[in-house]
Amino acid sequence: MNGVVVDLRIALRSLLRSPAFSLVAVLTLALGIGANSTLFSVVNGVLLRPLPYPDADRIVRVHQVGDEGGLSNFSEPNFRDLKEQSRGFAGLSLVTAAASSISGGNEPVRAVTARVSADFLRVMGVAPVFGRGFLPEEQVEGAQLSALVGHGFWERNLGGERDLSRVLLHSGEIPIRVVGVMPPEFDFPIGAELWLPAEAFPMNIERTAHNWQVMGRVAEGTSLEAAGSEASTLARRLKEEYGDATWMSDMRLTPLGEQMVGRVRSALLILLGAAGVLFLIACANVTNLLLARAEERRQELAIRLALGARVGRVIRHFVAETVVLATTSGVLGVILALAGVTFLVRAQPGNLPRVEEIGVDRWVLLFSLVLSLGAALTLGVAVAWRALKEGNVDLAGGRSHAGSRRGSRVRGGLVVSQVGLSLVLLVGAGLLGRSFLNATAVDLGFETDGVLAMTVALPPMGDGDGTRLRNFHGEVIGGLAALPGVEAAGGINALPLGTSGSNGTFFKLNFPDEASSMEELRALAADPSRLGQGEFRVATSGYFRALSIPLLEGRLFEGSDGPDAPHVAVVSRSFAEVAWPDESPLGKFIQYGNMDGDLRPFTVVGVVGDVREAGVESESRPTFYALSDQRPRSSSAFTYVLSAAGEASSLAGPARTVLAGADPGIPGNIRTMDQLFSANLAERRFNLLLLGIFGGTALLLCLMGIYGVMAFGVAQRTREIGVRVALGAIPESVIRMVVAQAVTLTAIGIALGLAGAMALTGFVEGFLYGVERFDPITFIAVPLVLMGAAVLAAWLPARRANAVDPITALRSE
Amino acid sequence: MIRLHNIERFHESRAGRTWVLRRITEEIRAGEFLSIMGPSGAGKSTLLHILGMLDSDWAGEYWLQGESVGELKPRKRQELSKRHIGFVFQHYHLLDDLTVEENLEIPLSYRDVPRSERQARVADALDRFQIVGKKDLYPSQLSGGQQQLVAVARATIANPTLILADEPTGSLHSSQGKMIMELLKELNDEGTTIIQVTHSDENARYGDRVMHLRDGWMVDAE
Repeated sequence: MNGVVVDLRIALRSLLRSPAFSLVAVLTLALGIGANSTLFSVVNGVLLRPLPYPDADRIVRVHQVGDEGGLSNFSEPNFRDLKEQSRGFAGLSLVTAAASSISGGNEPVRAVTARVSADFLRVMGVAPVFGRGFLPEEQVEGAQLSALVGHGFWERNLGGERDLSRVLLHSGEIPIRVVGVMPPEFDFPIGAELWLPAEAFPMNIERTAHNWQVMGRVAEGTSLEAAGSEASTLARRLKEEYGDATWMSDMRLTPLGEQMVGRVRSALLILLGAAGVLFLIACANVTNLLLARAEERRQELAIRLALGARVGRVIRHFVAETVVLATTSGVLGVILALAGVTFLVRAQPGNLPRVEEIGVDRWVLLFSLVLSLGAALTLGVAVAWRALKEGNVDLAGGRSHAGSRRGSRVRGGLVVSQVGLSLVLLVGAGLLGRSFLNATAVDLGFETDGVLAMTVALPPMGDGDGTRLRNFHGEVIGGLAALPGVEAAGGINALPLGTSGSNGTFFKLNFPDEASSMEELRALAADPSRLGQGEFRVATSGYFRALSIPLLEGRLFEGSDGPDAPHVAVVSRSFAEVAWPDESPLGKFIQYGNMDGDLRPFTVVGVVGDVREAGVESESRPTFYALSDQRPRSSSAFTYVLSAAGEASSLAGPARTVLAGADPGIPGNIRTMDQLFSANLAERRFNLLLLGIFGGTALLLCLMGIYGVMAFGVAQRTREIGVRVALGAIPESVIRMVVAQAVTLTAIGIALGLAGAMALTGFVEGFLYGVERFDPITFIAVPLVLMGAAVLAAWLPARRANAVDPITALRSE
Repeated sequence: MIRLHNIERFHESRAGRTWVLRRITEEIRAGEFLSIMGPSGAGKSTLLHILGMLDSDWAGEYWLQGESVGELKPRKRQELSKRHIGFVFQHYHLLDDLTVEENLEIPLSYRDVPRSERQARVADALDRFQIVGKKDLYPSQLSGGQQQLVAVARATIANPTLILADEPTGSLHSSQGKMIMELLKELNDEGTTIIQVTHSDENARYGDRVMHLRDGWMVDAE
């Protein structure tokens, strides 16, 4: 033990006496360890750490599976049947969440409010930290609303009030009693801050509705497979019983962990893999440095052997140095990881699950330690082995620094591997970069420049005919339109790129009153030629103008389209093409009452351009626009939009004032459309940023490697170069000799890297947009950049070689 | 102590076989002080390296203290070397990153000598060679003579029965060289067998006899 300590002390001293070498080696390894520890922190927090629920592996999300295999949310009747007839679950609960305007706390806030049915707490295995859960009498339709609140909400908005009887929240005019406070770590559904009993609200009896997530806890003694099999059997039975009245033909169980993180798993693992490649490049770089150092210390090695050192002791000596290097790098790497995690959490696109669980914990420290010691042992043993294989130095010959041809081959091989690995990373980054450019160039179908969006969660207005809601919209939109600099103002219930809207089956009518009841609608469903699928939106006329969505045919909504006038609709071009392929849609009748319960038919009056509703990279979907004045019931979530002649963000304050003037209890979430567009690309930008950083760092390390090997080679070949110059070599030929060596190594690395990249781009194929995985531009440009950079990296040592004075060089021997 | 019979050493190259040593047969008794002399390229250092078991690529028979070195496995050969041999090099070959004290300790640590004994023997050596005041200095802080003094101290610290010295004064000026040679003679007088390679007749006179090498052949022994 004492010997090991002495070895470590001597190694530390020896490294301190070579500060440049030590600094470069430590920083290089620290970069590799830091990148890996950072990514591992994310993977650990998001993918590996157990969920904070008891027996979390028994908690599952249950999906309906459609005829074509698509997954969807549940309808209430299907859920009820599942709950009553299955035996494989200890609990099943409906869950849905949406933003609501909540007042009664310190100030009105928008809070994600979940509706959950009985069993929710049992399914999740949690209990309020104080207060209580819902009582049976609170879980019946029409009961006064009671709520569980999140710990953060309780602290921030309720001042940590422990006497919950003194707290009364409101959603509009509806009072909500707070009965319990959830544990601080509880975050399901993600972001939820209030939980209300689902049973207190009217239920939708349609089996084709799909509004609810279903969460279940698989019973003790029942396997996931058995519970899934039972659910499937039940789904098939329900399909047989209800036929087309339900879309469900099967059910699928997904473990909660998979449900929460499955979406980001592959991206995180790819990024961790990229960090791993970066680590390998860093190790190759440090190995090269160590080999060069070992080359210069061959004499020391020979002395040690002559003094009686066994092979094991020599290896221990090398390993002691790499242990000191790698542990220092490990400490630096952890510091880098602390900064990296902070950076990643800030830079993450906002939809990374379990983001609050990301951090540098003991597992990350252990990971860093294993990585450091693993690198230390591997590098130390490998370099010692190499040095021992190089053979003895002639100790009679004094301080000879002659390098071996074999050693230079090994160093060349390491440069080749660095170039190859860097190329793989750079091709990945290049493909993502091209995809990002393609995504930013997409025609959204609307303008984002100068457009401001203000989203509100409107509470129930309490009147049956929607007059208050109409008046509210009128007041806000009128106020916004009157703001100086505003060119157009309007609103819609689900903004493109923002919130997801509802969609469903529409019915083409031959005459307006063809289906004026749900029974007649169901009868119409028997004829597939009368049906179609589309996005259902409720908008105002000003919405199209504010977003510059072009009118292609007919007209937009007009002032004459009042609440009592015949209900009118505007459809998107693709909706018109799907519904009436060879005819003009104008004047056609549509029944879409299944979306909002209002069975008054629509007459199509206009056709507008297609809009990318679901996101920049999602194709336009057929979209149907109802007028919000005529269909106010679907307008509880609403986004007001305005277009401005100047900078849209400057209108945020005035817009907030307008909203507060209409109702001070309703907070608005204000963003520019440019921000929304940017946020929509955030995930792509995040992946590109990380892979770009890794690729750039890899390139830098690779160039350092090329430079180092060339410089070392030049130093070793000083005599040879001196002889060449003495024999009349012209400067260009000396430079050409050095650069040619770098070009050869780089070319071999590029060839191997291209093969590797072709094999590995399959992993990023799912993240590409508008570019093939074998994109010729990327596969040509990256090697060219790498080769150009390699020539530059070799240029400096080549110039130094060219400057060799033959007399000095020959005398130095 | 040492018996050599037809020791031969050559290098293979594309041009053919280049002989370095030819049929060296010699016996060296315990307590002898032998000087090996000859022009450059005669094979002096090669012979010394074979004797010191730094070179194992030779033919013939080499007996050390009754053991046939050629028949020993590498590990046993190293053990034999560690038990009997100490080295002094022309260029001192102290380890730059270690202090004088640590340089002295190194051969002992390679022989698994317990720490307390190591410390005692290092202290003795520092005393004996009168370098106590230098113990915390690094080789680069010493003069050539001082470095070689440390190198001799290092060569003797494990109590070898044989010291192999490769031009021990080659890098020193005359007064330092004299000091080192007198030190080697003193060790020889105490019973240590010394074999030195030297170009200097003056240094050779410290020994009992001289072996002359030329083109790998032993030309005579005085």
